[in-house]
Amino acid sequence: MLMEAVEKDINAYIRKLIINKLKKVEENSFNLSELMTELI
Amino acid sequence: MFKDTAVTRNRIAIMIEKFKDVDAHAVLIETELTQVIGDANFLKESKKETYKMFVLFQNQTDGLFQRDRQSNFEKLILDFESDLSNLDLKISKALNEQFASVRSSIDKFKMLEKFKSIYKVLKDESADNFNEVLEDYTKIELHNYTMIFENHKNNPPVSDTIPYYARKIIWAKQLYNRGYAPFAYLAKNQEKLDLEKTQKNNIIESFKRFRKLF
Repeated sequence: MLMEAVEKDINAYIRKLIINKLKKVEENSFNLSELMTELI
Repeated sequence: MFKDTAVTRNRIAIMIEKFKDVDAHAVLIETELTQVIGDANFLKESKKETYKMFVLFQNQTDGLFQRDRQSNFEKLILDFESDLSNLDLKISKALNEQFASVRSSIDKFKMLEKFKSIYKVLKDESADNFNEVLEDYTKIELHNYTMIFENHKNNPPVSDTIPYYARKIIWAKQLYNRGYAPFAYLAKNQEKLDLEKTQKNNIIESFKRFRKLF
């Protein structure tokens, strides 16, 4: 139960982090190299 | 257990792979393509297309990691692949138009060398028509120069204000140089061009036949 809760929390955190980064990308500052460096 | 983690990991891996494709195209448009394609509008549109491919993901952020939406994610990837191959087709078409405007073998070889790194990003091996150009050079271009030489060697089409023998030498030298330039280029760049042994032999044999004329 505890493991599942921890897994859920970690996943939610990582997903939120990535989604926020994706949302921040705009056309006039479009540079995926920077984004990928952060993701990898 | 860890099913959520597997979904997160797999989808991030797929997204990174796709973003690498988008990034490679964006970089290509800003560097190599800008050097070979002069159409600023085409380059601007192509750059916009790369952004649109990224927006496909951006528009789906809320469902990107949901396990019960696997089919949505698969559709997103299919849409992405479709947009990417459409862009590749547009770029290939523009390159072919550019290539068609060049007539001499030497310029074609030089252009193909520039195109090489572009084709790698496009993942389109079929677009690489190096062998075709090589055959044109060894079988058609050198043959044409040979025919020109045979037909005009006694009365070369050069201004008659130049003394007779000087006229003949200048004309022959110019003709020889036109046949020699692609050969010299191929010889100098044989490793970079990754020429096979049979290709090298064909080039050497054809050029030897041509050189004998002089």
